[in-house]
Amino acid sequence: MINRRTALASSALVALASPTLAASRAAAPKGAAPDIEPRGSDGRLERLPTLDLESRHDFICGVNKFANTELRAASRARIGVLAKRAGLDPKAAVAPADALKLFGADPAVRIRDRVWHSAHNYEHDILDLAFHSDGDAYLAEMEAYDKRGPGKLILDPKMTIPGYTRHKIHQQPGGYVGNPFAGHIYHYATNVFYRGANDQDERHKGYAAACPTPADGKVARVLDIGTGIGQLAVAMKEKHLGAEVHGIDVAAPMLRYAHMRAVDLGADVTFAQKLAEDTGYPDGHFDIVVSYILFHEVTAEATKAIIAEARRILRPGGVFFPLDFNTKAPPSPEASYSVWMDHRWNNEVWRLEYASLDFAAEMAKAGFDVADKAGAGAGTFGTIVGVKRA
Amino acid sequence: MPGLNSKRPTHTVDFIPGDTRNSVFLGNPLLDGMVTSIMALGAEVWAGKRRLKVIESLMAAKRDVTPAAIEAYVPTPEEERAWEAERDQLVKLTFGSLVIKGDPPADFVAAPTAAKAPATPKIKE
Repeated sequence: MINRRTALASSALVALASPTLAASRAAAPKGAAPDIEPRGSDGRLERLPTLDLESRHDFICGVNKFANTELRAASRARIGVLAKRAGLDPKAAVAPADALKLFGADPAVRIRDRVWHSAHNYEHDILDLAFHSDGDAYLAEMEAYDKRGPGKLILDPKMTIPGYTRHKIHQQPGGYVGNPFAGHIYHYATNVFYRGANDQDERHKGYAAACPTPADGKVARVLDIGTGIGQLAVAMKEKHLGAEVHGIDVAAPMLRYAHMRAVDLGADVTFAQKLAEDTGYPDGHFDIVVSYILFHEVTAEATKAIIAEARRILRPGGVFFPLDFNTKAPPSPEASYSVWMDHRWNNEVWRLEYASLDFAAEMAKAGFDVADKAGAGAGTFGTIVGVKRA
Repeated sequence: MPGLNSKRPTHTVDFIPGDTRNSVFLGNPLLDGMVTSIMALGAEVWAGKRRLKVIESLMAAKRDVTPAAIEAYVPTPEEERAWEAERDQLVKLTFGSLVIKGDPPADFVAAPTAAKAPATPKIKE
């Protein structure tokens, strides 16, 4: 990757003279691993392969911004009016079925949902089409990176992938496990969600900075569970340069992208295909275990098992820092409706199960000393920190 | 999912497709589809406008205007800010009429929407 203000490498310019990505591969030195980056990088983010795709993506960023500001404000206002007319407490939760009945018929609410939903689907479609249309080249690129360092990639082709992980989570085509380009799609589609504020992994760097260090200051091994495309694992490696950092996930396509990206960024991280609830690591192996938006995408049963596993593999005094929606966020009728929408129409299959948990209480039950002491930069996430009792 | 013209290993497994693409928020699937269609057309308009801006920037800088130069062009920070503002204006002009405030007309009858999520489908592991 190169800095966006740096001129493109001559090989990339040569490649651009040809309309296909195959030409960019041909421009690579003989024997070199293909690195498909026909338009260079914007810092840590590889630019999308064509100007038109980048522009469509940019338009959807604008639509998402509009849907989450003006349309959402109108939707919220209507929910407030309708809740008041129904005599609801504005600071109380509403049963999903009641929220749907009360608010789901209002045009201001519906159009916000429609526009947001359409933007999400369109973004996924254009990315899926782009990466599949030159699929062999992108697969060849990942194959080459699979064997490269720094860091390493360990896949487990014989692993049984649990059914609960096989959904099209948040509508991503093929979900995390069924699309060979799940990592590519996830990365760019979630950048729409972040509205440009995470193109350089700013969020993940912030979360890594906010992650507490064990009281004795010793950080030799760090694990990111449900690492996805590895942004938090890489950020943790960049924070703890001397530590051995691992990222595990059930989804091989996500891990392949994570590893490829870590190699490009020069981060020595080991990515392995493992179940978070049964990692196979020895007892007390890690000093820090982190996760980013994992738990609302697994069953309540798996959540409890993963918390127990995190405790098992942490050493006494080790820190567990799970980043996800706050299950004790202030309730409101609008929040109830939003959680239901996320579950039902954004295909966050396990969102309601997650929302029904008291996450901090589950951690305490598993044997963690739990504190709400995350530092600045964690936003609404990262309010819970667990320490394994000595 | 689009077809894949490759024999390389994909490292994928079967997934559960779900039914969210069948969502109907506006009471008529054609109306819902029209919103997506307008969005797709807006994206094409913006892609054309943005390409034109790149060409204009190259010409203003007296640089070669070739397909490669157009694809490789990196906007300046000033251009990025100005283009983003113009994009936001285009989005607002396209979708602004959909910002609905106040009560719907008295004769408005909302069409039903799915009230319950389907049972979680099973997949062979």
